[in-house]
Amino acid sequence: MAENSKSFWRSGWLWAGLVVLGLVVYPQLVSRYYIVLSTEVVILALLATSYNLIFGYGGMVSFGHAAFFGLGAYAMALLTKNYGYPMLVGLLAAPVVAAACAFVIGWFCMRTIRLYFALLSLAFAQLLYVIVFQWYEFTGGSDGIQGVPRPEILGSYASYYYFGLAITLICMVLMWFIVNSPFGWSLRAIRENTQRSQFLGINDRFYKLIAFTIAGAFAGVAGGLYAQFQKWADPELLFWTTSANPVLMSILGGMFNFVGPSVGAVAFVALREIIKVRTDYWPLVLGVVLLTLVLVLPGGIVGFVVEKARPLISGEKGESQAP
Amino acid sequence: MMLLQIENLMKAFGGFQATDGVDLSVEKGSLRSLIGPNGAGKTTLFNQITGYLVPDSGRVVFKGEEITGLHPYEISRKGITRAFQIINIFPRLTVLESVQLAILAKRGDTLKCFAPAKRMVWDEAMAVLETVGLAERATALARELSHGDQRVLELALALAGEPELLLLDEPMAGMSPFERVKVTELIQKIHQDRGVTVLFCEHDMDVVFGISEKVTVLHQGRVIAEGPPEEIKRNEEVHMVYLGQSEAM
Repeated sequence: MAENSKSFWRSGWLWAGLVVLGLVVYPQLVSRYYIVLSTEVVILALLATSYNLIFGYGGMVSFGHAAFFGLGAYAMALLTKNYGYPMLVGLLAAPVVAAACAFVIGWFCMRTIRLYFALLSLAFAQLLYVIVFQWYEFTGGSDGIQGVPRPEILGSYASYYYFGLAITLICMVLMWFIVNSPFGWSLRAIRENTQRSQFLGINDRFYKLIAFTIAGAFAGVAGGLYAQFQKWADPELLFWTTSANPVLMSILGGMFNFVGPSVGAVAFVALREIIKVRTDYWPLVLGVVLLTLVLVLPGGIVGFVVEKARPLISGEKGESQAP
Repeated sequence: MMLLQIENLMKAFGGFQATDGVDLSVEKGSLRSLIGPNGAGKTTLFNQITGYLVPDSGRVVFKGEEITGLHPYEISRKGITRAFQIINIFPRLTVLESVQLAILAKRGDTLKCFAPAKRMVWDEAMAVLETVGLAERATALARELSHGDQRVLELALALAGEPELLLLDEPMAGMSPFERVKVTELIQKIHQDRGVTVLFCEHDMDVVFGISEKVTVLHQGRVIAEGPPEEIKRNEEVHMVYLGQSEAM
């Protein structure tokens, strides 16, 4: 039993190692277009995974995650472009600003559940969007902040891809530890049965607030990277349509699996690129794809693969990927 | 020494007085039962002891400390855990994970963010599963268990919280005769081996009179009789209350 879980542990790291190796080698083999696209995917995967901490693991449907993404982007842009701080300061400030804001917003939102929680998170995010949009002197209003600098060493497309990949992987490892810790299990328990978790001695509201704050912090990192990646922070990053993206990616890839949202990010961007060339109505096509997926594959892409692969790998049930 | 003392507890829902001045004292180390017809206020009483409902008035004192109106998670950490009348588990957690989590929560370790939960309190959790007889199903998801096993898991969750006082709300509900015998033995084992004080309510009178040291009878939110099983069996008022109530006496 203990041996069993250990060998799974090892094979899990083996798979992760192979994927990372692939991510490192692959840009050497493709054109610049794909490198840029991959950089975006990597950053969006980080955003989606951070969102899934509260969505898949915590069972909280928030429609305001873009707020923390956008705040991270503006923290990076303002500090490096307008105030001339080095990139590292921006990259550290992004999660701090986003987490602080997530804590305050979360504190209010935790008073509500389900639909009310979703609407309140949406309202707060839209509020921040309006502030950023209107506050011309500080945020540049609708123009945003253009020309976010990058250090010389990260000037090329490939080097920024590797930088984004490295930061994302570090964040992913941290989040992986969190979801597999007693805290992560508590979140799952709260999602599964809030009342029962209270009777076990878990203060559910406090745990959810902590999770919301952590998710905000990682979204802030993603935002900071994104601002540097597109060399521009704009109010759109906080808009509610941006909030929808991590929700869609999590559902597409599978919200009950750690790598689900990342796979969802790949699928999301791939779909967008494929469809965009052929029609202007790509959100419509995406909607149809999503609808089909939710109906046919309720566990998302990864959920489906795990379900099909489980009998092939071993007869053991439940051990591997109980979310 | 009294482990739990309830004094003049009142709770009304609208015009309905669910708990109408209940006094109850539970001695440390005892095995007690609570009976009464449906709607007598048994579950409401449990809900008030464990903090799910706040009483309108009256006091709940545990180990000399007033706990009236505290949150369920606070009361649970003080040493009162509970198994529910309806199945109340974590469907997509494995049996082992659920029990590990219950132990971690009791010990105040659930805020640890970077420790691998899988390898924590593994021995302790397996010991609990051995005690209740679920060790073989450790890696199954809770929702995959049979109804009877889910009830046992319910009990394991309460037990894993390392309680001093264990409240069991109709632990036999919906169980087969064979499972009833198993759970009855289990309750006695928990009481004797672990020295846990147990208060349970149950409709199965064979179990109630078979294992209780003392029986408390609740009717319309009031305690109408209390004493050893033999005494309760002869009590006229109790007979009146249960008259026409199925196979009760």
